[in-house]
Amino acid sequence: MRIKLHECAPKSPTGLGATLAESHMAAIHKAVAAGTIPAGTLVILDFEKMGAVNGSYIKGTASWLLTCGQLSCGNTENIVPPRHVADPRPCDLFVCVTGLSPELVTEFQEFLKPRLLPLLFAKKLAGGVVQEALLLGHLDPALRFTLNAVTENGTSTAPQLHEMFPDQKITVTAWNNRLNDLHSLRLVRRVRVGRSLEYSPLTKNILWA
Amino acid sequence: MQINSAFITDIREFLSNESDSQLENLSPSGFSIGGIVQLACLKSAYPERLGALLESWRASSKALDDAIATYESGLLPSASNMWAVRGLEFFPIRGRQWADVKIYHPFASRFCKAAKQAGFGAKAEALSGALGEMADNVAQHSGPDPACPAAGIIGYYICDGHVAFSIADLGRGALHSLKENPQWDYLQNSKDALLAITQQHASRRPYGGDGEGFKEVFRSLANLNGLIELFSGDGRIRIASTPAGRQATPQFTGLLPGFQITVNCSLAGEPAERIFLLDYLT
Repeated sequence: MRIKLHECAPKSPTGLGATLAESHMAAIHKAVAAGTIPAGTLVILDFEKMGAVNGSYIKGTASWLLTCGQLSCGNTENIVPPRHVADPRPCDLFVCVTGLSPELVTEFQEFLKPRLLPLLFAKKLAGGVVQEALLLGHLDPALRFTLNAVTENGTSTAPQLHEMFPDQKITVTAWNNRLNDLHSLRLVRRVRVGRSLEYSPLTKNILWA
Repeated sequence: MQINSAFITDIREFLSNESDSQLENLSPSGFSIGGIVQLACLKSAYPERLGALLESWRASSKALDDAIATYESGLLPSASNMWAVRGLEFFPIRGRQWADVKIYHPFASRFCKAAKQAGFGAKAEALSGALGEMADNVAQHSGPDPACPAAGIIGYYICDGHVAFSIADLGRGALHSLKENPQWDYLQNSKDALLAITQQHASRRPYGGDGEGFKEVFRSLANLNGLIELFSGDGRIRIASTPAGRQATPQFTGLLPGFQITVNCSLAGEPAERIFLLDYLT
């Protein structure tokens, strides 16, 4: 699912403010509230032709989607019941951004890093599939290593990674924990196959900011 | 008599005391932008106690007349000479589409040009962003239902080396807004709510981390002599730039509805309000 923000109503050459963000995301707010978005959907937010954005706009767009995704894989007992249609709620979706100018990359980095959040910036797309992405924001070195491994290997399980990197002295449990963390951060998809969990990357190639 | 922050504090005390008394025999010599913007709001909230006095002042002050018409009737800025710099003007905040690009963009552009002309250079863009963020807070937080925000008003006054803007509404105020978020449910009064917003970037939204609005305001004021004053409910907080960093002075004040913020910043000198004369626009 690709959303070209400069085409959303009301049309604006810039992305400034929470209210504009909510207007641009209105359709997806409704879809999330109605539960009509298929599980595992990757939402690609296209910032092309957006001259400037600010923190409130990022919070209301990319960060909102990221929060919905993160809520879907957390402890549901602690979820605050949404009051308004624009309040985040659990939804098993993934998000990446594309079309960022260098100025917008700076704005995203300033938003993401203090919050210790990672976000993929799709540099190459083909038919809704991310061919190459730059990781913005923050990711622990151990998780970076793990994400790199999953991206290079393709669909992976913890035992497979344990076998692939015998010199790393990382236990299967530790690999499982790392993969689970990446899933919670919405950087890899997860499916249960029999008794094991398979994790797959959102991008075919990853670049590091 | 100057209609400045100190006067507004007195007026709040006066209005929060339940009585029928009216203000009489006061004659203003000038206004600060915060003073005039808040008076415009308070007139419609307390017509019996303030109406007659402000109507008399209005007759001799086009600035006050504009401010009241902007808040009460949603009067838009004049479209003549649309891109020419103006030192003082007002803009209504109505509904969620208040920042419609065709209407708000010329206003924001004039603000930016005036700030640049006043010597603020590249800082003008940041101040314009901060103004937009604070105004958007009215649309975002003033109503119990975000679809129905309270009416609000923006005003700015810019002169050589000085930029001031003020935003006010008579909505539910900071405390009630923050209480939507369980993280801030323990807050007991508006003074603490204002402190949480400005010092801990509290937000009514339960997820997504800090509120971004005041970060943008503080960023825009970096290296300027800034003075921020907020009123909401029974709380008031004054945040001044000092050589040792920002210094916040919270206090209780007369209980009135809504949220009002005024930002003053100067290229030199102590952070302070500036006063324009009663007949400034005449």
